[in-house]
Amino acid sequence: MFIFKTIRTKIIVTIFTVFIVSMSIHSAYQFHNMKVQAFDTFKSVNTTINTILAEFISAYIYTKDIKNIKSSIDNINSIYIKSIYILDENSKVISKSENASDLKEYPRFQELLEREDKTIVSQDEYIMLNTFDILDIPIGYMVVEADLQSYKDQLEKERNTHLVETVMFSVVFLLAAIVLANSVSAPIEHIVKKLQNAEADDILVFDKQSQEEFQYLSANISRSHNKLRLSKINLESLVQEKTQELQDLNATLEIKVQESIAEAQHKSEMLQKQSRMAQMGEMISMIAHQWRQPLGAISAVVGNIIVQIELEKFDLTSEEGRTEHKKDLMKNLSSISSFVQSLTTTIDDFRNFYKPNKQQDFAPINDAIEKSLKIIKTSLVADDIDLIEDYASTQELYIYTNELMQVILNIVKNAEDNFNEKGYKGASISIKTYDVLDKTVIEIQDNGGGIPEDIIDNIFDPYFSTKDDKNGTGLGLYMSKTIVEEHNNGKIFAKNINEGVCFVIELYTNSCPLKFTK
Amino acid sequence: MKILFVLLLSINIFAFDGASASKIFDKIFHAMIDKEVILVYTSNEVYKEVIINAENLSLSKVFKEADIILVDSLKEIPKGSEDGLFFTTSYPVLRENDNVVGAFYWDKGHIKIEFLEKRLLKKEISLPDSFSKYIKESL
Repeated sequence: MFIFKTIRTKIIVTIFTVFIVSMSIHSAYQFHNMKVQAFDTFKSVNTTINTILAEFISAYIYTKDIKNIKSSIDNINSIYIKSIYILDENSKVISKSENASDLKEYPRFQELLEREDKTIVSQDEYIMLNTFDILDIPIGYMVVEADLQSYKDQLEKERNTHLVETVMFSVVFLLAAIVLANSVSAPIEHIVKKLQNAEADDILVFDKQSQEEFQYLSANISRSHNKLRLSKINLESLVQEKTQELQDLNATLEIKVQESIAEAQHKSEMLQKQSRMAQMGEMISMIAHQWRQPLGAISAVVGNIIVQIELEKFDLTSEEGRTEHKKDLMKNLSSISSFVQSLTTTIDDFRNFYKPNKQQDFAPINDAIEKSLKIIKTSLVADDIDLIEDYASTQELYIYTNELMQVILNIVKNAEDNFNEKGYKGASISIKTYDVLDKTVIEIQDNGGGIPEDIIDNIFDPYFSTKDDKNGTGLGLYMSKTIVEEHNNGKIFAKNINEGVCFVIELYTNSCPLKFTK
Repeated sequence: MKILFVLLLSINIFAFDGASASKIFDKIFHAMIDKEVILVYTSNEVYKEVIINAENLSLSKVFKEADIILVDSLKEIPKGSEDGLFFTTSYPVLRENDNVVGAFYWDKGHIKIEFLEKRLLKKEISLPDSFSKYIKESL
């Protein structure tokens, strides 16, 4: 496949090639026709001469009138005839034309006689045999040898004429192709040249074109170029403007980022606080619950003391009565002291829980769980919830104990709330720990019916709660997830099991101490 | 001188090929008469040879027994043979004698075979289709 560099070359070569090919085909066809025609003419002349001779000398042949035969064939004056031989019925040469060879018998007579058309035709010879007959009885023969040279000369002449014509036409067509190519390509070249020389900021104006197509093309290119130029100017201005804006923004970006981080931290702290407040409410409830029994006992002891005094159980007038009263009072006060100590312990436990860890503890996970359960156990017992504990983990790992306790308490409290809401009988919460390769796993599962599958993926989202507004903030599990993932470098997820839900907490034992970011 | 002239004439007459002539006359006469061997009478010595050499022609010594009488000139017409069937090798004979139904002759270089339609009808002769191109209505 040829690739032309310019339209001009393409047009010239295409037109000229088409012409040469067409001319060649036409010439070949013409020459073939001419050849056939020339040969037909040549054949026709020979046939005519044959016919005339056959008509006019048949009697001379019958009568063997050699003189008249000779005279007749010598009168034939055609450029197409080379020689004529007259043969008798026995194929003996009885007469011949002047330029014929001196033969007694024509050597190719038998070959001619056997041929259907009685003719031998080749590149170099054309020989015809004519039979003179009377009532189909042969009385003699005539052999005419045609002069092919004249036919060849004629062909040669025609060929040369054609060649000259072809060359002349080729030159004319080449010139015409050049003129046509110029006329077609000149406007395009003008447009291309203009475009090549045009700068992006130039207003493009083309010379007026003669043809409508080029007028349309140049007008469109000009319009597009000028539109692009305007767009470029606008774009440059816009880019400049935006660059300035970006520079300004860049200057204030650091401040904005710092503000955003501070805001995010603030929000996180707020969430934590909210969560803590919610838990605090729950804790207060738990404290109240835990205090109820010792306070009741203190109240009972105090009431007992009051009753004893009012009923004058002891005779204070006697030494013995005073001693007994004192002993009893000391006993009751000791009980009260014991109950007050219990209240203090409870307070200490809660206070420790709310004291943020400054550093991680390197301890077994079971300690944190037991501490958590110590806070909530009384409440669970009061609600008749069985607590099954199975601590198989022995690995020590870096944890923020109080944070992890918060997680345990969240999950256990949620289970307790669920049991209370549904009024479950035979409720149980099972907590177990175990070690798997490089991690320690805590599983907290209940038999509270589980979490619907359509929401199980959302339970760790902030503000997502299935409890009523009074009891749920939707922050417990969100904070638990945050604590496990960020503070204890672990993973937490929930899955439904046979009768309830199982929360799995995985903590990595080989992790380094984490920096507490709170 | 007279002897030389006759000799030259006879040489001229004998110039045509006898074998071809026998075949030609055999073909013409068998077109006219539907017989295997046709009896031909002629007083012309040259044509006697021709008839003798013809395969299916037989030379009759008596014109009355002959199927056909071949003449080359008017004087060769035997007396009392008016009812006979004549064929000639001379145009003048054809032209002059109404009993002659056809002729085979040459005029300059041209060979001619001619039959006259009326005379053929009169003699109740019908020629094959291949001869129809030789039949003329009149001279």
